[in-house]
Amino acid sequence: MATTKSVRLARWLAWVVLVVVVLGPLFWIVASSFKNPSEIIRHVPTILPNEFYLGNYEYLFSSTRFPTYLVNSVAVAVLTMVATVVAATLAGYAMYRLRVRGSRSVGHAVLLSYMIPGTLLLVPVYVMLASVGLVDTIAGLVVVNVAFASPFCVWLLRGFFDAIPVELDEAAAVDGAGPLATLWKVNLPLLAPGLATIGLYAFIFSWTEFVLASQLIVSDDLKTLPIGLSAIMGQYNIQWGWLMAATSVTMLPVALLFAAVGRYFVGGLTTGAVKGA
Amino acid sequence: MSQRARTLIGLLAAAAVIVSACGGAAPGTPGPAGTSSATPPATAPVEVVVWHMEQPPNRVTAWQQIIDQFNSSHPSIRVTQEVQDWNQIYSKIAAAVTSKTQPDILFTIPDFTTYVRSTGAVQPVTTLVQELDKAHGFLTAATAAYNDQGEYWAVPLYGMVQMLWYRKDLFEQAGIAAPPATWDEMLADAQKLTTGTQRGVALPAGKNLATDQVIFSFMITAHAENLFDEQGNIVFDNPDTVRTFDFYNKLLQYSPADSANYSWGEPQAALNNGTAAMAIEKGQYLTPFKAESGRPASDLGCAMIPQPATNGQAGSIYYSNGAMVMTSDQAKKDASAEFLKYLLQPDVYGPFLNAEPGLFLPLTQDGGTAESWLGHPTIKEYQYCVDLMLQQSQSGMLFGFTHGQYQINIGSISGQNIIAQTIQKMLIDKASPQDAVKWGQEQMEAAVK
Amino acid sequence: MNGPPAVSTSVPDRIGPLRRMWTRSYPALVGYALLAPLVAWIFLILFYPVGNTVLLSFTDTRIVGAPHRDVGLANYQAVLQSGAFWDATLKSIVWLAGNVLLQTAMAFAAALLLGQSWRLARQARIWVLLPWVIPTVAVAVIWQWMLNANYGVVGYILQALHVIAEPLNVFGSREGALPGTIVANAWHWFPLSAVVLFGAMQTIPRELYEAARVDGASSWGQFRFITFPMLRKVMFALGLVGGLWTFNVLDVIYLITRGGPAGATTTLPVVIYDTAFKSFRIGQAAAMSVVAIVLLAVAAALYVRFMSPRED
Repeated sequence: MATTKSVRLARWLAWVVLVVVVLGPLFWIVASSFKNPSEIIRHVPTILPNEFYLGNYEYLFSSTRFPTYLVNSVAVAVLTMVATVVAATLAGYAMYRLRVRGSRSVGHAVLLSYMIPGTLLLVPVYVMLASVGLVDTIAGLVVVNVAFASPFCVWLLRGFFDAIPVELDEAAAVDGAGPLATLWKVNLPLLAPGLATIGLYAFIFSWTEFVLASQLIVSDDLKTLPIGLSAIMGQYNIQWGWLMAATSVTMLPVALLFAAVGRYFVGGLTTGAVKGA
Repeated sequence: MSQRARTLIGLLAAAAVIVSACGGAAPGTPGPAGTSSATPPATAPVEVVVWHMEQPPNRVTAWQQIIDQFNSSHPSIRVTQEVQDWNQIYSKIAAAVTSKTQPDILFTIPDFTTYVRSTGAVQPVTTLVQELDKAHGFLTAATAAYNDQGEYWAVPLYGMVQMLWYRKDLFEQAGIAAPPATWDEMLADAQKLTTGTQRGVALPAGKNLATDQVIFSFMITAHAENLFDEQGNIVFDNPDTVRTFDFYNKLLQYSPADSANYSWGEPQAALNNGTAAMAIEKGQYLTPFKAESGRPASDLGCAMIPQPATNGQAGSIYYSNGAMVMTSDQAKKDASAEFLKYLLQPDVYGPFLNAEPGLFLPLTQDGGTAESWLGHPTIKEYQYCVDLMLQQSQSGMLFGFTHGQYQINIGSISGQNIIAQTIQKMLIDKASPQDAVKWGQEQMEAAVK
Repeated sequence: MNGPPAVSTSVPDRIGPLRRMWTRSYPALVGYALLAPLVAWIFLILFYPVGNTVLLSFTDTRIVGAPHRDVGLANYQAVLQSGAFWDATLKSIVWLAGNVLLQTAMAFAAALLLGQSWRLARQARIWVLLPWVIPTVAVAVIWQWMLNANYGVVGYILQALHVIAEPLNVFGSREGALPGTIVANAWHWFPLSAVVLFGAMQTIPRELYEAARVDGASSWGQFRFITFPMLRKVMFALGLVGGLWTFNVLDVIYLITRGGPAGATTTLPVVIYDTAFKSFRIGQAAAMSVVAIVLLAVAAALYVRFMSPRED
C-alpha cells in the first residue's frame, strides 16, 4: 500500500507537534527544576541548565514537608481508588445488571451532577463534614473525592458491564447462584480491565484535586501535594526553582505508575467508553 | 438461614463496618481544630491553634522554632500553627465559624479583619493592645487600621511598606546619577532606561492586590488616599486620583507588554534578570536579590516613593499585619494573649520578623532597635534600605483606614480589586483616566451598597 | 438489553408465601442495597449542598453564617437583568466552543497518531496522559511562566524564529487572554479524550479501511467517511460530559488571570466565585448558580435531543 509522500510528511510533522506540545512543557519544567535561581528567570532562556543545580530539590526535601505531603497524597489517592471502585462497581452492577428500578433516574442524577458549579459546594460540604468530625481528616477527604469521582466511573463501567454476555449471568442463575455470587464469580473477573480503568481514574482525580483538599484540610500533617505546591508560591514572591522542583515531584509518582500499569488504563478507557457510549 | 439471607446480613454488616471505619480512620489527626468541649484535666496544657497565611516554607520553619521555644518555656500552654492559603481562607473561615471549628488565633490584614468580623467570631483585644502599646510603643500606622471607634480588633505584629527598588548598575549605564524623587523624574528615567529589550520599569496591572497596592502608594503621594469621606461616601473620583491614574498610565508604557497580568512575581523577576530597571514593592526584594540577579547586593538600590512635583506628600502603602483572637473560651483567650505578648518581646521579635527579613518590619519602638532583628545578615547587608523602609513607614497608610477612618466596607472594594480594574479600564479598554476613575467610583459605590 | 434480571426467581412450590415474596424480591433488594451507598454518597455530597444553595438564593446573605433576610426572587431578578451575568455567560460559551474545537482537534490528531504500530506510538500511549496528571495549580503557573513576555520560553522561541516581532503578550491583552487560557486548559484535558478516541478507533474493523483503499480512497477520505462516522457515538458522549465539565472550569482561569484583563476571561464560574467570595454576596451567587444549572440542563437536553447519534 502506497502512502503518498505528503501524507508521510504530514504524519511526521504531526508527531513532531505532538511531542513538542505534550513533552515540551514537561521537559521545560523538569529542566528548570535543575537551574539555579538566576538562570531560571533569565531573559534569554537556556535549554539545559548550565550547571546541574540540586539546590531546589535539596530545599524541597530538607526544609519543607514535601515528603509528608507525598505520603498523604498517596494515602488519599489509594483509599479513594479502592472506595470508588467498590462503590461504583456495586452501583454499576445494580444499575446495569440487576436493572434496579430507578437506575435511569440515577443515571440522570449522575449527568446532573456534572452541571453543578463547584464554588457554592465548598462551604456546605465543609459544614456537613464538620458536623460528623471529618474535617481535617484523610477519611473526610476520601469521602468527598469518592463522591466527585464515582459518577464518571459508574458511567464508564456501563460499557464494561454491557460487554459481558447476559447468558453467563443466566447460566450462573440456573446453577443456583444469587446476584452477589454472580457478581463475584461471573462479572468481576471479566470486569478486571474496567476496574483497572476506573481505579486509575479515581487515583488521578484524587492526586490532582486541589480545591476540596485545600478547603477541608487544616493541619500541616495532612496536606496533599497540590496544597504543598500552592504553598510554595507564597504571597508577595515566587521561588520559581522550588516551584519547578515541586511540580516535578508531583508528576513523578504518577508517571512511574503509568509506566507500570498505564496500558491497562488506556486499553480499559477505550473499551468502556466505546461500548458504554 | 438461607444463603441469601446470610449474604444480605453480611452485606449490611460490611456496610456498618465500613461506615464506622470511615469515622475512625484519621491518621495523625488531632480532631477539629480549636474546639474543646470536654474540660481538660488540670494538668493538661491549654491548646491554642494559630492559623496564618505565610505559606513559604522558610517562614513556617522560622515560626515553628519560636512556637517550640514558647511551648517549652510555657508548659501550661501548647501552641500549634496551621498554615492556610489566602485563596481559600475567605470561604474556609466562614465555614469554620459556622461549624464552630475556627482557630483560636487568626493572623490578618486590616480589610480581611472587616470580613471576618462580620461572622461575629472576632474578639475585641483593646486591653491587650493598650498594654502592649505601653510596653513596646506601637507605630501609629500599625494600630490605626484595627481601631474601630476605640475598640481594637487585632494585635499588630509586623508591618510592610513599599519602596522604589531600582538597579543601580542599569542606572549607571544609562548615566542617571540618582533615583527619581518626583513623578516627572520617574517618567524621564523610565524613558531613558527603556532601550532594546530593557524596560524602564516593571509595574503590575493585573486584576489583583499587587496592582491595588502599587497604585495606592502613588495615590497617597498625590493626596488621593481617601477612598471614603468622613460620612462614608465614596470620594474616589477626584482630581488627585485622576492625576495619579494618568501618571500610572504613562508609566505603564515603559513596563513590559503583558503587565496587564502582572502580580508580585513578575516585576520582581524582571528587576532581577535585568530586563527592568525599576519596580515598586515591599521588602521581599532583599532576600532573593543576589541569588536571582547574580549581581552584588550593592546593585540593589532603594528610594522613597516618588511624589508629584507639585502638591505632593511623602507616602506609601503600609500593611499592618496582625492577629485576631477568635475564641470565647477564657482560658484560651488568656493563653493566646500570653503567646502574642511573647512574640512582641524584643529578643523574640527579631527572629519572628526575620522569618522573611526585609519584608516583615517591626512596628514597635523597641522592636526597631532590637539587636535580635538588626543582627540578621540580610538586614545588615541592606541596612540603608531597611532604615529607609522604617522611615517610609512613618508616612504609611492603607486604603479604608486613612486619617482615623475605619471603613467596614473596604473588603468589598479590595476583594474585587476595583482599583486594579480601573487601571485595566485605562490600559486595555483605552479609557481616559477621567472616565476610568469615574467608572471606578461607580463600581465602588455599587460594591458597598 | 431488556428483560427481567438474569437471576433465578423460580421458587419451589412447597415454600410458603412469605418466603416466596422474599425470594422473588431478593435480587431487587440486593440491588437497592448495592446502589444505596453510592446514591447516598452522591446525594449528601453533591445534592444536599445544591439544595442549600437554592435556599441561599432566596436570601440576601452576604457571608455564610452572618444574619440575613429572605428576599424572595429579588436575587433572581437582579441576576437575570445583570449585564455582567449575561456577559459572563457569553464568555463561557466562547470558552466552551474554543475548548471543544481545540480539544477535539488535538484529541483526534493524537488518537490517529497513537494508532500507529511503531514503538514511539506505543510508548506515546503512556506519556500522552501526563498533562492530565499535573495538578491544575501547576498547569496554571507553568503556562503563565512559559508565555510571559519577559522570561517566557515560548515568546523567546517565537521571536527567535521571527514568527512575531514584538514580545509575546498573551495574558496581558484582551485578545490573547481567553485564547491563552483555552490553550492551557486544552493542554491539560485533551489527553483523556485522546485516549478514549484512540480506543474507539481500535474497534473499527480493518476491512472497511482495506475496502476503501482498494476503491482508491485517500487517507483524508478514509478519515472522513469511515473513522469519523464510526466514532459518532463516542463523540456524542464525550461531547456531553466533556462539555459540562469544561463549562464549569474555574481553577485554570482564576489562577492565571483572575478573570481579567478587564473582564476578558470572566466566565460564568468566575463571576459566581467573585460574587460569592470577593463581593461577599453569597445569596446572589447562589441565584447565579441555580440559573447556571438550569441553563446547562436545558442545553444538555437540547444536545441529547438533537445530537444523539441515530442507530444505524
